[in-house]
Amino acid sequence: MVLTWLLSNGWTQSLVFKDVADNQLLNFIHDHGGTGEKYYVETMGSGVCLFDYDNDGDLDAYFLQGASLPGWDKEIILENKLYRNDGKKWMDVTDEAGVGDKNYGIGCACADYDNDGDTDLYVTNYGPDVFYHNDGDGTFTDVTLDVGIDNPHWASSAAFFDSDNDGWLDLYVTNYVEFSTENNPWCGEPVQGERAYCDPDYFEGVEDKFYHNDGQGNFSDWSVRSGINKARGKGLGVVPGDIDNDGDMDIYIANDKVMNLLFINDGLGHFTEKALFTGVGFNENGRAEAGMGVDFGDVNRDGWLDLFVTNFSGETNTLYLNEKNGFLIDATFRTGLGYPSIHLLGFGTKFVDLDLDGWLDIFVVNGHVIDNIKLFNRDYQHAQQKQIFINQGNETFLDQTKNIGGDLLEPTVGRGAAFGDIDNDGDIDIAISNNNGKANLLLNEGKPKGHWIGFKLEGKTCNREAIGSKLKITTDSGVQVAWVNPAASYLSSNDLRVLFGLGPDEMVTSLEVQWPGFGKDLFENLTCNSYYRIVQGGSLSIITY
Amino acid sequence: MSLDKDPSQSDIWVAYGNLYYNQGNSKKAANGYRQAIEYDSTHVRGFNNLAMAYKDLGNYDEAETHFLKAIYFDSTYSLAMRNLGDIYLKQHKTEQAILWLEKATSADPQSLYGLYWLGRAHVQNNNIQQGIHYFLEVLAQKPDLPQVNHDLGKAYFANRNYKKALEHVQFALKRNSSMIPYYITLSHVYDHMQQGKKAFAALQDALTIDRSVAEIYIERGNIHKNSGRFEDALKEYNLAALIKPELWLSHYKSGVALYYLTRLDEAETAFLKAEELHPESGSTYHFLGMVSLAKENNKAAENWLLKAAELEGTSTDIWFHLGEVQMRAEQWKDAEKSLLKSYDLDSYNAETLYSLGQVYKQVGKLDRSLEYLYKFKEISEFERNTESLNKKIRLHPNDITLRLELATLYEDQERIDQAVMILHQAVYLGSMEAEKKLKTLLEKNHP
Repeated sequence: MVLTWLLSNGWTQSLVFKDVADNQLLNFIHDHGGTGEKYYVETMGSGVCLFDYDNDGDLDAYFLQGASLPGWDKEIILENKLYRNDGKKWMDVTDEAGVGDKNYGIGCACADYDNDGDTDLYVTNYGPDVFYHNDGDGTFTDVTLDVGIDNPHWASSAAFFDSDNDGWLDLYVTNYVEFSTENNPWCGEPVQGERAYCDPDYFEGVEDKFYHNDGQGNFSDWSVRSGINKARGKGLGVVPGDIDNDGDMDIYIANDKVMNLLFINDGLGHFTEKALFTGVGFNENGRAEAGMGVDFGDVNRDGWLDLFVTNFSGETNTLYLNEKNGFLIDATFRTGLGYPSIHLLGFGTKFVDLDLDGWLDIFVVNGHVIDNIKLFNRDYQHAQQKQIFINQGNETFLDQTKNIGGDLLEPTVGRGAAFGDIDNDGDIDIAISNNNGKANLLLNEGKPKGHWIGFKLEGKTCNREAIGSKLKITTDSGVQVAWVNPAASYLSSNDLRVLFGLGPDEMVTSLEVQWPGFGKDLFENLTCNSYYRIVQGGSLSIITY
Repeated sequence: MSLDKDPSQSDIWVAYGNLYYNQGNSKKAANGYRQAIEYDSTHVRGFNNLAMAYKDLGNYDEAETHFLKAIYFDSTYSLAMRNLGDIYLKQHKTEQAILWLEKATSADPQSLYGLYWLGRAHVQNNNIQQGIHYFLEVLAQKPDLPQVNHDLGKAYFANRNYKKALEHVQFALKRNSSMIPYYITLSHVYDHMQQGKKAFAALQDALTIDRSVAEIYIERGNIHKNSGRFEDALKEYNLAALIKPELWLSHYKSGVALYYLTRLDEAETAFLKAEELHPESGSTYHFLGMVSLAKENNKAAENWLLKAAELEGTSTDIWFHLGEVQMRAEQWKDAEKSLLKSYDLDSYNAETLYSLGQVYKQVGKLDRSLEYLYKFKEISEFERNTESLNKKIRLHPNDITLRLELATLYEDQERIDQAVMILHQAVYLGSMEAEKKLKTLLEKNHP
C-alpha cells in the first residue's frame, strides 16, 4: 500500500515552488491607489511581463503599477517597474530604461514589432496606452503617437500576432468598460449600508482595438476593416492561436460576464466572430461567465488547441476541448476541473508542463476582487492560494495544490501571472503580480521527473520572433505540438521560448517547425535537456546559458 | 336521565358531542355525534358535526361522506355545503370546492362566510379576479373584517396591483395588529417591489409581537436571498430551523442558501434533512441533484433528478438539469428528450435553448442547433439586460425611470404579464407615465 502511494504521489516530490522575490530583491509592491471609495479600477490589476529586454539570455520582468485615485495621498511615486534579471538578483532599471510610465497601469504585451532583433513593450492603461520601442541599448522610447496607436479607453490584455502572415506583428488590445472616477456608483448592500465594488453589469462594455502593422513602423486601426468591431464585450483576457488548424492565428477574448468572443481568421486578417456556434462563448449551461485569464494548449495531444478560461468564484474555471470539427465542448466537469475551482476566483493562468511528463498541466493564480467578500460569503477569502492541476494523460486533471504545498498555499490577491524559465534550468517558473500587494517570484526548485527540450525560434521571412510558428516533436512516447505565443494568461506576457516535457524520453527523433505562412523546417535526433536556437531556413544550434 | 334509553334525544347527543368538540376533543365529540345519528338516521346536524370532527382528525374521506349525507337529507343545508367546500379546498380540489361553495352561497346568499370561502377558492384556483369580486362583496357588507382585508390584499398582490394590495394588508393590520401572517404578507409585497428596508421593517414589527415564529425568520431569509445576500439568508433560515426543527422548509431554504454559497457538503446535509421531514417535495430532490452535479457525481445527480421529475414534472428547470446530466454522460438522445420537455414547459429558458443547441451539434443536426442557438442568443441578451436593470433597481428602489425601462424591455419581448407587473410597481411609486402606459398596454393586449 505504501508502495502504491509512493508510485501515485511520487511526482509531487518533483515539484517545489519557492517564492524567492524577497531573497532575490524583486521588491515590486502594487498599489491600487484607492482610499475606500471603491473605485472600480482598483480591483483589476495588474499584469506582469517576462521578456529578455537586454538580449542577455535571461528573462527580465516588467510590472504594471496603479496610480493615485481621488483622495490618495501617500508620499510615494507610483510608476511601472522594469527589473533586470542579474542571475539570482534583480535590479530596478526602470529609470535608465525609460519605461516608468505613471499612468494607471493595467497590462502589457511584448514582441519585436519592427523585426529589429529586440523586444518592444506595449502597456495598457486605464487611460491612454503607451508603446515603448526597444532601442537595443537597454533603453526604450515612447513611440505611441509615432506608430499611430491611440487607445484612450480602459484597456486590459493585449497580444501581438501576425494576422495575415505578412511577416509583421499586428496588435490586438482588449478594452474593458466605460468607467470614470467622477461617475463612481455606490454598490453594495443598501439595507446594511456595506459598500462594495460594483460588478461589471453597472458599466457599458467598450469595443476592442485591432491595429495592423504595415511593416514601415506604422500601425493602422483596422478594428472596422478586420471585422472585430462587430462584436463588443468587456474584454479582460486575450489569446491568439490557430484553433481550426488552418495555418493562421485566430483570436479568443475572455469577457467579463458577457459572451466570450472567438474571431476566426480568414488568413488575410479578416475576422468572423463565431464563439456561440463553436461552443466557447458560454459555459455548458449557456451562462456567460466572468472570464479573466485565458490560454490555448493541446491538453490531450491530439494536435488541436484546447482552451482554458479562469472565472469568478461561484463559477468554475472552464476547459473547452477541441472536437476537431469546428466545435469545442465544455469539458470542465468531466475532466475534474469543476469542483476544485468553484470557491476561488481565477486570474492569471497557463497550460504548462510543470512536471515535464509530456502532458500540459494548468497553473492558476487566484484572488477575489471584493476586499470585504467575507461579509457576503464567510467561506470566501480576498487573498487566495494558487492552484496546480496535474494532467493525468487521460483527459482528467487532479488538483495537487495541497500535495505540492509550500509557497503555493500562501494567500495573495493574485492577478497577472507570467510564465517562463526564469533561471534557465529547463522548467517553468512564474512571476505573479498581486493586487495592492507584494509580487511573487515562484521558482520551480524541485527535480521534475521528466526530461525536457526547449526552442527559441528566429524568423527570417516571417516575423523575427516567429510568433505563430507551430512546433511538432516526435519521441518514443508519441507526438506533441506547441505554438510560439507569448500572449496568454491575464494582463501579462510570457516566455517566448517553447519548452516540451519529455517524460522518460531522452531523444526527440523528429522536430517539424511550421513557420507562419512560410514553409517548414525539419530536424532529427535532438538530445534532451537543452535549449536550441532555430533560425528559419534550417539552422539549429544549442543555446548555452 | 339515561340517554341510551331515550332514542328521541338525538339533539342531546349532538349537544354532548359539541361539549367535547368545543374542548378540542374531536374523538369524543365524534362518539356523541355517532350516537345522535344512531337515534335519528336523518339528523343533518349530527352528520355535519360528525364530518367536522372527522375533518379535525384529518380523515377527509369520512368527512366528505358525512357532509354529503347531511346535504342529502337537507338539500338547502348551506353550512354543510360550505364545510364540504372547505375540505375540498384543504385538499386542493379547487374545482369541487368552488362548486359546493357556490351552492352554499345560492342556498344562503346572506352568508358572509360562504362568500369569503368562495373568494378563497377562486384565488386558490387562480381565478384571482373572481376571488377579489367575492372578497369585495363581503367587505361591502362588513368592511372592517381583518382577515378578509388581508386575503383581498394578497389577491391584489397576485394580480400585480401593489397599491391596493398594500392598502388592504395595512388595513388588516390596523384592525388586528397581532396577526403575524399579515406582517409576513406585507413584507413579502415590499420585497417583491424591491423595497428591502420596508420589507424588513414589517418583519421587525412582527418580531416585537412574537420572536418565536419560524416563518418570520424564513421570510427575512428570503429577503436576503432575493438580494443575493446568501450568508445573511442562511443565518435566518438556521434560526428558523432552530425554533421549529420539524419544519422542512427551514432546512430546504438553508440548503438553497448553502448551495449558492457553494458549501456543497453542508447543502447536501440540509437537503437530506428536508427530504426526511417532507419526502414529497420535488424541489428538494432537484437541489440534491444539482449538488451532485456540482460535485461531479453524475450518477447520483441523475437519480435525484429523476425522482424530482417524478414529483414535479412541470418544472422546466428539473428537466433542464436532467438533460445536463445526460449531456455530461454523452447520452445525447436522452438529453434531447429531457431538454425538449424543458423547452415545452418554458420556451424562454436560455439554458435549455443553449443545451439543445449543443445536443443537436453532437448528433449532427446543425440546422436545428443553429435555430436554438439563435433563439438562445436573443433570450440571453434580454436576460442580461433585465438582470442589470434589476440590480440597479435594488440599489435605487424608488427610481421610476429604471422600472419604466425594465417594463419596456419586457414589452419588447412580448412578455406582457411581466411588463404589466413592473408598470404596476411604477404606478405604486407614483408614476403617471406608468399609469398611462399600463392602460395602453392592457387595452392593447386584453381588449
